[in-house]
Amino acid sequence: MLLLLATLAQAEPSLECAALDPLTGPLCEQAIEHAEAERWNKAAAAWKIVRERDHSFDRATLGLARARAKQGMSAEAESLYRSLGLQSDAIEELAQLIEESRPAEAMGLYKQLQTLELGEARPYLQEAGAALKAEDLVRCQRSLERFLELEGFEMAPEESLTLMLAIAGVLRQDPEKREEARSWLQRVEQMDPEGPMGLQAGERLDRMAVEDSASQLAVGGGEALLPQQRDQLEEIRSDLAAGRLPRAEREIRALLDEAPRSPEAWATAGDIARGQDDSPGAETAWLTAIALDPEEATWRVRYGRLLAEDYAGRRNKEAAAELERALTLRPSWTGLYVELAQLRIALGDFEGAKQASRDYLRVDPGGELALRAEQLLGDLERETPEPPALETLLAKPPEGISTEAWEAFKRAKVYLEDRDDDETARVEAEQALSLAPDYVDALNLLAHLQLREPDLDGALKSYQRSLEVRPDQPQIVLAVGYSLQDLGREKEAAQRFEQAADLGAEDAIYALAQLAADRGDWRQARQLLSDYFAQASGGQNYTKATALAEALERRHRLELAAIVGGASLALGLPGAWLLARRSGSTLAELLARHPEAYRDVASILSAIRHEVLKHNTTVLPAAAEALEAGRDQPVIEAFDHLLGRGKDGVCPKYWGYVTELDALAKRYGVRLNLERRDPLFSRMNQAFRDLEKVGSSLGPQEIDGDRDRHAQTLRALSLVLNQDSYLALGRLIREVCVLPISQDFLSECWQQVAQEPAFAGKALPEPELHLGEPGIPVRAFKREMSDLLVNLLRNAAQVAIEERGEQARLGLFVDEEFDEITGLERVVFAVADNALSKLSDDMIRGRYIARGLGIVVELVRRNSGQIRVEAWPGYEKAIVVRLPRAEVAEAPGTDSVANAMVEEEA
Amino acid sequence: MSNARVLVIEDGREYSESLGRFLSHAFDFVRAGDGNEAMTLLGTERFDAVFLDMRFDRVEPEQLLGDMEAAAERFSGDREQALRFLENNQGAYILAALRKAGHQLGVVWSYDFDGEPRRWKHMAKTYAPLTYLSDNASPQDIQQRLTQAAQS
Repeated sequence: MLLLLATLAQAEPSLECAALDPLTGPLCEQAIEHAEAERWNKAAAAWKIVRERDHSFDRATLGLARARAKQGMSAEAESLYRSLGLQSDAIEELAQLIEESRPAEAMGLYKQLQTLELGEARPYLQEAGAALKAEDLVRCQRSLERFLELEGFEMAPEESLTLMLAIAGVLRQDPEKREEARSWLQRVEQMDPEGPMGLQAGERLDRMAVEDSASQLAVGGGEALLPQQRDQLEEIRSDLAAGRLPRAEREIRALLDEAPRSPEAWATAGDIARGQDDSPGAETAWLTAIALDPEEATWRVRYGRLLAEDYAGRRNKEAAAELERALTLRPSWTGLYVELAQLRIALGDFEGAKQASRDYLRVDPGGELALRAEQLLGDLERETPEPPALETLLAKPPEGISTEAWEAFKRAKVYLEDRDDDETARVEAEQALSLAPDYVDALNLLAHLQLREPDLDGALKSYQRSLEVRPDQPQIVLAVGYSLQDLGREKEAAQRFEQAADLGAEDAIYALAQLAADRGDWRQARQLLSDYFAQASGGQNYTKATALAEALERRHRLELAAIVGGASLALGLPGAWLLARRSGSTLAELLARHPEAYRDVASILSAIRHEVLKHNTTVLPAAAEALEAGRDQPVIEAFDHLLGRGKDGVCPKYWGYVTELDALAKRYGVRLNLERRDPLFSRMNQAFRDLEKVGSSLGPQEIDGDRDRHAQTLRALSLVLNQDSYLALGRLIREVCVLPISQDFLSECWQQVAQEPAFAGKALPEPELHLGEPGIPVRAFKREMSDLLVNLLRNAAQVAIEERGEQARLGLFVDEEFDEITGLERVVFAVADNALSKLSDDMIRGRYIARGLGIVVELVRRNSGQIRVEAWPGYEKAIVVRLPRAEVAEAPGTDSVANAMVEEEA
Repeated sequence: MSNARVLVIEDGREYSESLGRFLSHAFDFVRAGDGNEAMTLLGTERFDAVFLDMRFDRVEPEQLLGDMEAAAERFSGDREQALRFLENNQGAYILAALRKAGHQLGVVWSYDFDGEPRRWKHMAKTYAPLTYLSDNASPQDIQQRLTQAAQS
């Protein structure tokens, strides 16, 4: 009924205004017209005057309240609505106004409406919506049922279906109410069998079926694979990496038959399904992996990405929730913050997106996504462009402008600048322009007011008209550029910025730099910033430009580090050569992007060192000597072995390892170009080709060619392989994965835990920190180490607080210990607590998932360490992790005095 | 004067072959394929020096010296990692057994301790007389060290 009245009122404005006096009536009609055209400022100004003239005319109060609500002036709108007492329209609109911020109060108003409009169905639906926001699910369902009863099952509008889906979404989270959720979804399916809501309900029912079967499988938790099953899984992953998908699928099915509770196997099944574009299959498999091991972040990330990519935004909320959970488990996976920010933007959660961008910049300020995070933050924080300053008033009208128009413009300026009354200022500006349409100052003032509204389209039109009359206005051209940019018309914006820069607006150069950075053209952005700084003398963009320059500089350094890093430095090859534009990546770049590949890379490099160089190429100087001395046989034998004449040789083995490195990189989605871009391997490859070439003259029957020249070649190759390459390989293996443990690092880990929302408002005990020796180097990545300690500390804090409340105590102790026989040292990390509950080695080693130790156990295994529960003095117990201590090499390649034959202690 | 006798302890034959190929004029090489065989040979024959490899990943697990249970505990019960650990550090276990049995002859250890100075310091102190050679050592380097070891 309300809608009907509103429609009638809109159709016949004069009816509503007929009761007013002849002066006020037209104003009332004007107000209604403005409201219909959504010109809320004008509507408000007109209603205000009508209301002042006739206080008993409630329509004006209602109209003004609506306009104020639309202008975002909620407090004034609320007060106006309340002044209308029991008028249904006012109650309904007031309830809608406060529903988001005070849903429980809105529920009361809708209830009131149900009494005022007996038999009307709509207030019940509205009450149900407010109840859902107030998290009162019982009342929400009851009101919705009543609405459906009154409205009729088949007449249910889309809003009610949306609400039913939302109710099902909440009920689904409660294991005991999943049947109720299912029932709501089935009703939506029946009510909208062919429509989008029905399809969504069907999709959700399918997902619930998957979740149910996953959780049934997950009862009792996941189980680790046996060693031979783990090998099997590795092979399947290799098949997957090599694109042998049908085989991988066959094998994973077989493995899942044997180990149906292995989360890793399910996760790999998900990867394979994804590789085959089987999204539902991937979703089911990853969901099962999550159910089996809820504390592993990897599959949550994959599942979350799938939800974001495959459902056209419909499941972005769930995707964001998965990434949030993954970040809690693995706070060091900082790139997820940026993904999360993007998802939140898509969800319209701009505050959340800003927070995620800030989180990235806080935890990884020099990270490779820092610039992206800064861009996101910059975009999110970008305010409506500041309008250019208005011209000062002239003592007389400008040429060609009438005094009347000039007077109206002056009044507009006073209303704007002295009284801050934009509404009246705009009326006056429009008055001036109606008298003098080419009045540039009035056009600029109108655009200024439109920007403040903000009415970007309107401002753009006014500015463009102003420029048509007088093109030489650099600040106005710049303002047009900003308006275009904010409207997403970046190409046109760039043209305007260039034009403004030509006219001398230095801020336009900064704007161009920002645009270049946004589209990823770092080089041009740096160049433009350098131009900007050469001209700028402060101004509103100076600080922003400085921040952008710093971000670009960081990125530039990162790129250089990635290209020139690692082995290239060891070999000291010229950077310029390395910067040559060739496709594919170096080994150092692979490691920079995927440090998790380190262990596999190190294992292959170590094999090259031990199985290719050691015993083999090390004979080259002796072979050279033998050649010169005319002793052919040992040289021929050595080259039989090196080239593999008659049996497996050293050179084929080397090429095999190079192929293995390529395949390994592919598993991480990286294409290596060792031959052309990698400074270490391009040299080694060339040396092995030369070795094969010279070897063809050295046997198998006799020695051909110039012996001295061959000897010289062998010595040169020995230098490349046995000195340069050998040392570079050693450095790469030893130095990449070393973390010195400092007091600051331990404190950072604890701070990360302390700042988690789960501990907000809880009395968190400050842990006793002890570091035996500062800077003990451990062979682990910082990110992994941080994840390991954060998870241990979080676990200990949760249990200790739960069981001991304010008496909870924690300790983090780091020391070294050493093995007598092998001389190998380990770093001991003990996280102690005073919780009384028992924990055993078997419990944690069996991936005691319920207490979040699954990640820790996996990280310890990956780092060749030990985890156990030990008694700890002053505490109930400690979880103790031992990891290999790294060594920092002394001068490389030295055969130091310490290595002269060490005699027995005399 | 007869050549010095060197016991080469390695799981493969790479050293025996390359040393035999280039240094047979200066030494007589005898090969032992694992720790047990080395201990037997040292108990029955006279040697002037030992040339010892570090990694023994081509011998049967039961031929490895060292306590498998203790090694497994070192890796939270993971026997696969434990086996790799014993293989990768087998040279140290052989050296410990050799010294424990009272064999004090000079040992040239083929292992790159350049990158592990702290570990080398400990090993040198515990197992003297001892020297090491990095994996990129040429036969000439080995000859020099073996001569020194045989005279120690």
